[in-house]
This record gives sequence, structure tokens and C-alpha cells, in this order.
Amino acid sequence: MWFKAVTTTKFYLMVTLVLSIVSAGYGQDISLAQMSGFIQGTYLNPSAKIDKKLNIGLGSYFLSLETDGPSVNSLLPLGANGKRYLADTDHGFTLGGSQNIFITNDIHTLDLSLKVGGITIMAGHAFKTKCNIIYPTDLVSLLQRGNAPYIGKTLNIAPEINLNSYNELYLGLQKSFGPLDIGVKAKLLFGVANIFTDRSKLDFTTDSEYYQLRFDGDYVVRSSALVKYQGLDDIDFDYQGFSFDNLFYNNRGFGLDIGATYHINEKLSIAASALDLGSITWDFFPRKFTIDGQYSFDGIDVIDLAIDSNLSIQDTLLDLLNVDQSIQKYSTRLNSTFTFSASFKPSDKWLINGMVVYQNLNNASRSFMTLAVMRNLGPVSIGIHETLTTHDYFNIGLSGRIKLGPVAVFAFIDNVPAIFKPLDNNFISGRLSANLQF
Amino acid sequence: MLCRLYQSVVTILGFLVLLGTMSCSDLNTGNGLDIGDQEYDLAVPLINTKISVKRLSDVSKSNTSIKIAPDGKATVLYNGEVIRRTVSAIFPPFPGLIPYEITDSVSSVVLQFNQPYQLKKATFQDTKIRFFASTDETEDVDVEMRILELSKDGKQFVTNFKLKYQGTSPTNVLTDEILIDGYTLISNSNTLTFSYKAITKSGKRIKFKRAQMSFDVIKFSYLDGYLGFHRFAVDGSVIDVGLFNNWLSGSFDFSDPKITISVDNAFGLPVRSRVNKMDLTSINGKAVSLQSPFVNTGIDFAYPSFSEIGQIKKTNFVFDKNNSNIREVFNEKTKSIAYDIDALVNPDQDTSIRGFIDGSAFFVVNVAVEVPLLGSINQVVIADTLDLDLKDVNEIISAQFKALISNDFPAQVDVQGYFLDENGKNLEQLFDNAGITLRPAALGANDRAIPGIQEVFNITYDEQRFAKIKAAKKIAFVVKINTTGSDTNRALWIYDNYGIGLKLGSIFKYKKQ
Repeated sequence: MWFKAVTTTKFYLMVTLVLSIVSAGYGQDISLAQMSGFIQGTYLNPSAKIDKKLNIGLGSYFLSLETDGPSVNSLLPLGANGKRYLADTDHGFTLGGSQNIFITNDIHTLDLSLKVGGITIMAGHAFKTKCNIIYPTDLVSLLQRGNAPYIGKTLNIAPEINLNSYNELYLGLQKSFGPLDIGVKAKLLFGVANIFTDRSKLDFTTDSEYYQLRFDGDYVVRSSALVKYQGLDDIDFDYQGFSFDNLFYNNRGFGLDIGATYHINEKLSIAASALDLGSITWDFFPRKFTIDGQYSFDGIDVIDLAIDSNLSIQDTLLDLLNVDQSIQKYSTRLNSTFTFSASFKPSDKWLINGMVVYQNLNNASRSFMTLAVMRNLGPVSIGIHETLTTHDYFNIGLSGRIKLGPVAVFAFIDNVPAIFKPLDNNFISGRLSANLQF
Repeated sequence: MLCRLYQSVVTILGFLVLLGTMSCSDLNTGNGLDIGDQEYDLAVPLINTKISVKRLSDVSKSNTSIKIAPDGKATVLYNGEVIRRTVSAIFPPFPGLIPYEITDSVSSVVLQFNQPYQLKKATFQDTKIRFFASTDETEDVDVEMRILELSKDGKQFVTNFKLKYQGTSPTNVLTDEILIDGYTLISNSNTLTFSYKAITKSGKRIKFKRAQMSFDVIKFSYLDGYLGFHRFAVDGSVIDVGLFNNWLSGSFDFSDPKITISVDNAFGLPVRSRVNKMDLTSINGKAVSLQSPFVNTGIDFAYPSFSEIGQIKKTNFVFDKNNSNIREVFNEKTKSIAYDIDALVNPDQDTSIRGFIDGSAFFVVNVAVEVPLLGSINQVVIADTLDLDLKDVNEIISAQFKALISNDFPAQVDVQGYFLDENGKNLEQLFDNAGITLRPAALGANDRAIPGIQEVFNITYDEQRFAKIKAAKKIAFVVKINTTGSDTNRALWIYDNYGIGLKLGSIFKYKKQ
């Protein structure tokens, strides 16, 4: 029976996320830098200059999956019965640590820019989802080996989930002041779904006396329109709320992108941007789930068991953690991104970009450096880039562009080897965009 | 029980996984993640209990219970059936089979009962009467009928009816039934006197050619007078005494076992018990009769006087070591007590004794065995066997149990268990060596034990040993008990705060099969 506990539909959902995790979109940002002159370049820096008078972004799809922990095949190998299981593999984990899973899915449906005099006006819509899951090493170790190896030790078993999904309507401006280009986008945000781990303490101890199970919790998860909790064994995800229905009402927020580019000379420029500064206030069924206090399972009372034939150990355990539910409005910050980049264009044939990125996520952050080179071959341009992170030093990505008259199509893929063995890698991302310029 | 404990093990593992996911919707869904082929070491708290005398007293609901005295001393009670008798046992509703003849315009009848009642006062309840009259007169006759001894609220019973001439003689009438609920008969001789006036339409007073009065049923809500001699059985019954069921050897000495007969009586009549049988049967099948002078003479129950109508008088009678041989017989390991008791109403049949019965009166008899837990237990060995089925624990390959046990009783308890196959063959013993010994709690002031010290026992079932017990179909427990000073019959009380504390945890090695 017990192993069935790990094989539930909802659990599978979460696992599916893990299974899918093979990448992070490090290169996505540099790919945008390679798209200078097009409106998609302003996703990275609103001051990135747009060529031509009229630009129409016909859609841009970006998906990025990443983990700083082990890959899927390493963490969850495939068993003989075709099911994945949590292997008893060391992974170099140390108790007390944690691993991140990052998921980003940006869909830009339509972007427009119009140059009027010395000002470029920008507008557009996007549907963005950003998710960050943190799973503690202690939890993995516990599930790999059982709790007996950790008798007397306190383990942190609190996973964190932060998911932000929202619609974005923006209006922006670009203007040049000599060698300095300034750009800004103001965004009206309408939240679609959210899970936010506000507090994440859930300590688990197996007492050495006779192995009592102790929990010490200060765990608060908030959610809008996504999580429905009936009990530890009955948590539903309400995907009906996960739609475009909230495009113009509920869960309103405001965001800001600002950027500046300084052209040192005709070939060299430097730029900086701050993206997604702002927050969303969640007021559509904003649920708050709280585990607060200390709980203990000390075993069964034989007399209770004898006199109550309906006494259920399972129910006793499931009722052990008292999850309090309430409705309470709350706000979450956007996952802000800060970039600093340099662009060198030695000739019309070559474009070299370098960039440092820092992302401030809910309860986590990450940073990386990227170097990219693009070769212009007429209507076709191809590029290659390398990304350096704190835990990964060799991430080669490719990008390409085809430009036929006013039509341009861009494609980009990060961490090329992962295309062939995605489940053995821990990040991959890609972008596909189309654009019209007049 | 063991299956439920095993269930707790697997549930805890599932629970831990569940905590890890925080997203289980259905524990029985079968898709998604599997568990690995590795061995899991699961540390599980299995039992945390304090089986105290007080708790057993609180939860006991059957005929066996534990009574706690204000000073904490415990007594085991084995209750027999509670016998309840109402007024209908003394004066059952009497059907009005025979009509009473009214022979003259003033005439008396004596009420006929199946017992020699001498009613002084009787109030009817749910009783109806009707009259029959016949005349040869050729005109209508109006009748006023009275019963002189019958009255209600100070008014004598009177009823009127008419004989309507139909052109042929004789003229007969049978009245409708008349409810005399609440009418009281006051008489010294069970007599009813009828007095009637029958007057024709032309004004002539006549006598009936024939007249009768009949009851449907005679039923009273209150009676007093001499109400006859009655003997009815309280009923024979058997009280099971489970105290010695699992005894193998050794001796008990309970200092003061008792059989109590308690009676709640609201009848205003002398009632005496007569013990026809009070046999104590030992676990060996030997039956010995209780010897006591009171078995021969009977026990008179208290009853309310005329000034105490409506009250319940209590009688508690105890057969104990002072008036019977119960101590000697009981300590021969009594398994059951069979009794047969009669209750005698007006046992001396003295008609000068005037008693009463109220309609709601009853008497309740309760026979019980009381065993005050005062005594000694000397080297008593008891054994019990439980069925066992470990086929569902195949995925557990070894276990290390850790038991923390405290014993508050002033008795040393040695415990060993044996895993048996279906043929009773010993496969493996529960504990290592000779088993575990729970040392007696030390005695403090007034021979009351001070709480016992918790002792730790580790029991290891390695893979080989655990494999052996998986084939077990039964587990036999053998327990030896020896109270402090039992060799000199030192009698000690069992108090309500005494108990056995058990905290049991285990580390199971689990591997998916």
C-alpha cells in the first residue's frame, strides 16, 4: 500500500516537472542580445535600439527548464517495470543543502513598435510563467534510504514552490540622448495563477528514544486559483483557473522594465537593464495554507486500538500535521532580472556579445555569464555561445536567423548536447520568434 | 493487532513520502513514481501506551468492570444479569371471564381472583365495565346504576342507560364499555355493591328480570391489603469469572472475594430471597456449593412503608469470608458462578400484614461477584495463544525492536513468547534467552508501590530469524507473576494508578519484493 502513496496523479504532476527539468535558459538572454535591431531585443533591454519605422513581433515562444541538482536519469532512473524511482545515489549531496528547479515559459503573442520622430513607442502582450521549485537534500536523502539513518538528526523536509503566471500588457518608449539610448516599459499585469511559499520551515526528527516522529513547522504556502487542499492526501490543482480568463481583471499588478545602452564608439557599446520590477496583488481566491507548531507521532495507544475498531493509523498520521486554511489577499514580487552586457561589432559580418545576468527569484537567486558570437551570412546568420554558471562551466548553445525582406525568423537552442540526451542533462532551453519590419 | 501495527509501518513510510511530495490526491492511484530496489531503513514508533488500572476501569463496558474506591483501591466486578420485576409480576392483569350477577336493586358481589387477596383499597387502571339488563316491561325503562364502593375524586360511580321497548318482550340492553380508570375500590372484603333505580316511562319502579356486570380485564394502578403469597424466580444465571482462565500453575490468594446481591425494591411488601443454588465451578470443572447460613434462611429485602410510597428501598447483601466459605472456594480458581434465586412475596403468608403495590413499582435484583484486588500471587504462570498471520510482512526483511517498559505493580513479571506453526511447533521465541523480566515496583508507605522505573529492552530479529517467524500462525505468551512477599501470603492492594507502560519502536529493513 505504502508505495502506492508515492504514485499518485498529483504527485506525478510534480514529478513530471522534475522529469522535464533539463535546462535553464541561460542563453535565452544572450539570444535576445543577438536580436538587436528587432523588437524582441527589447525583452532583454528596453533601450535596445529597434530598426525601421514599424516592427511587428508575430509571436515569440520561449521555454527554459533547468536544475542545479542532478539530472532526471540520475535522480530518478527508470526501473525495470518502466516506472521511475528515487535511486539511492549519493549525488554528492550534503545534509542541509537544497537544489533548485527553474521553469520559464514566455509567450509573447504580439509586439508592436512605431518610430515617431526621435521616439520609439512600443506595446505588446505576453503570457509569462515562471516557476522555481526548491527541494531540500534532506528530503531526498530521507526518501532514498528511510529515516533510520537519521535517527536523532533534524532534517529539513520542506519543499518550496514558487509559481507565477500572469498576463502582461505593456507600453514602452525609447529615446536616444547622443550616445546614450534609454528605454522603459510600463506593464499592467493580471495574475492568472500563483503558488508562493511564504515560509518554509518543516523540520523532521526521528527521536532516538523509541523513534517517535517529530515535526516542527512554520510553513506557509499561498495560492491563487491553483491549489485546493482537502488533506495531505487530497491536494488538487485547479487548472481551470490557469487560463487567459483573468486577462483584464483580478490579481492586478504593475511592472517596469528599464534599460540604458551607451555606445562607446560605432563598434562597441555597453548596456544595463533592470527587468520585471514590480509586484502582483493576488485577490482571486487567495488561499493561505499554514502549518505552524510542533507535532509528534508517538505510536499507537493499545487501549485506543482495542476499543475503537475504526481507529485508522493512516488517518492519525494524515491528521498529524494540522494544516490551517484561510482566505487572505497577498502580494508577490516579480522575478526581477538585472543584466549588464557589452556588444562588439567589428564588421557587418560579426557580432560579439558578452553578458552578466543576475536573477532575483522568490527565495532563490542565480547568476551567470555568457559570451556569444554571431556570423552574418547574408539573409542567414548563425551564432554560437558559451555560458558559465557557478555549477556548470560548459554550456554550448546555437542560434540562427533568417531574414527575407521584411520577414525575420529566429531560432535558438541552449546546451546543444542536451538535445540528444535531455534526461541526462540538467538544462535546456529554446526560443522561436518571428518578426516583420517595415 | 499485529497486522494493524504492520500497517502503521507501511503507512508511515507512505506518509514520509507523502510529506516529501505534499501533493498526493489518492493513496490508491497506481501510476507515477515507484520505489527503488534499495533497502529502506524505517524507524517507526509502534506503541505508546500506559495500561493502568484506572484506564481499564474507564473503558470497561461489559459485565466485567473495575470499581475504584475513593482511596484508589481496585475491585473487579463480574456482574450477572439484572433482574427487574414490575407490578404485573405480583398482580397480573386478570381477565374478566365471568360476569357478576346483579340479583336485586341493591346487591353485592365478591370479586374473584386467582389469589387470596384481601384488598383494602384498589385503584383501577385501564379497566372497562359494561352492564346487561333484561325486562318484560312493554315500555321504555330508564336506569341509574351505582356501585357503592367505587368512587373517584369523592364521587360515587354512577351511570345511566335506557332499555328501549321495540314492540316485543323481553327488552334487553348491553351497555357500551365504561372506562373506570382512576376509580378506587374501598372495601374490606373484595366486595362490590350495585344499587340501581329502573323506572318505566309511565313512572313505575321495577326490578330487572336479569342483570349482570362484567369487566374486560381487571388491572390496578394501586393496591393495598393483603396481596397474597407469591414465589417467582429471579432466574438462574451464570457469571463468568475470567480471572483464572489462562492459569497454568501457581497459587492465588484473594483476601476477600464476595458475592453481592443488591435489591432495589419499591413494592410495599415483605420480600425474601431464597437461594436455590449458588455453585462455584473451578477451571478444572469442579463445582462447589456456597455454604452460608443465609443460603438456608434467605435474605429479607427492605421495603417501603405506607409513609414511603414511591420510594425505593435498597438492600445489599454480601456473601463474604465472614458468612460463607467463598474465600476458600473462590481461590480454587473459580471460572464461573451459577445461581438460582427465588423471591418470596409475603413469605410468611401472614394475612394481617397489609402491604401495597404502586402501579409503577418494581424491584431490581443484581447478583455480582466482587473481587477486591487484595491478595497475593505466588509463582503463577499464565499462558495465552493468539492467532498470527505475517504473510503480509514479506517486504520486511529484518527488524530491531526497542521496548521501554515500566511496571508499577508490586509484582515481578517474566514474559516469554513463542512463535508456533499451524501444528503448534515452536519456530522461534519472541525474546532472547529466558525472556524479559519486569522487576517489581518498590513498596512505599502503606504497602503502596511507588511508580516503576522504565527499563529498556532491545530485541533483534536479523534476516534469518525474521524469516523464521514469517511462517508462524500463532504466538503463545507465557507470563509468570509473583507479587512481592507472596511466599508469606503478604496481601497487597492493587491501586488504580498501577499500570504497565510500554513504548515500542522498531527499525525495519524494508525491501520491495
